[in-house]
Amino acid sequence: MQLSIQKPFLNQILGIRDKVFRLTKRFLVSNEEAEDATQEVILKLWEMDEERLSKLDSIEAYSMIIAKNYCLDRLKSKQAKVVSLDERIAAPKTISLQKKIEVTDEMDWVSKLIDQLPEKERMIIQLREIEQYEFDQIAKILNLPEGTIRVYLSRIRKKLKNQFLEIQNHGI
Amino acid sequence: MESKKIKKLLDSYFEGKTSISQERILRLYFTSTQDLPLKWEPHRVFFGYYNKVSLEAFPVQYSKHKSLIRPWMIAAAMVTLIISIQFATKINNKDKGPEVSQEEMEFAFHQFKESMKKLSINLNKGTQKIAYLDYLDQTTQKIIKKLL
Repeated sequence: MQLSIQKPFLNQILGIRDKVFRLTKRFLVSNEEAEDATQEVILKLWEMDEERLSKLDSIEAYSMIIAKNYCLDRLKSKQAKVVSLDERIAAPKTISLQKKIEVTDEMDWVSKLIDQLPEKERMIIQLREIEQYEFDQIAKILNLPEGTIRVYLSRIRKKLKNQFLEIQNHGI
Repeated sequence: MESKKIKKLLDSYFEGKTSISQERILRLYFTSTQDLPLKWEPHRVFFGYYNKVSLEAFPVQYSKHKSLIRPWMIAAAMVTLIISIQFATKINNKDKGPEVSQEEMEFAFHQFKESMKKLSINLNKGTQKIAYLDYLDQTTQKIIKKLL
């Protein structure tokens, strides 16, 4: 690809870079790993010739697929620092329902709950709730039918809410 | 009532039936409304979390801000100052020549501080520019390497 890149394309790449970073961080946990992964994905895009690039219906979907596969490969090879499935969520000290809880602490629980989801479910939450992709995009990235994704999403959302309530009630 | 509409949207949300724009309405509602009923606390936290995390960007780091002022320079400046003050005091004690007043010594010290400040600012400006150029250079090098 020529260095004289058109500005709109460059802006798109910067947007994609952030999304890829967030996704890889969700799976690989550490900032360094996520940065490395993101660089790899972006460089792969740079290396594509214009013809191949123009044939993609969605550069974004393609990037996210590369990112997804990279994460799954890394997790398989066990070289990455993975959040152990046995890791228990630190129970909060004491929660008084009257006292306003610091939002950041609660958000940490949410983060951990999502990190503990099986890979497929984690992907769906990341792509829908955080990246706000439409179902057809998610279907393309995960190679799953739209209907299946909706069903999964419904299940995951309910599960997360119930898990959160369990933690909250535990502290009373 | 607003909360009836929200309740309806929430039910739809948990069935996986909401559209992106409906989900945005929920997110906006739960992150900006005060005094939500306790039963909706989880939603406030979840939507707040999704909102917060969606803003996280790829970290762009410039090389660490390195001060070009070395410890020996500070030491040398201090020694110079001390010697000049002592010198000024000695002249004073010998009662020869004009007395260096307290005012004059303070003024000299003040001038010294100002010039050290100026020196420091100029050195810092230089450092920032160099750091930025360094970063641009590194990134360009990486891309070029891969292209070749």
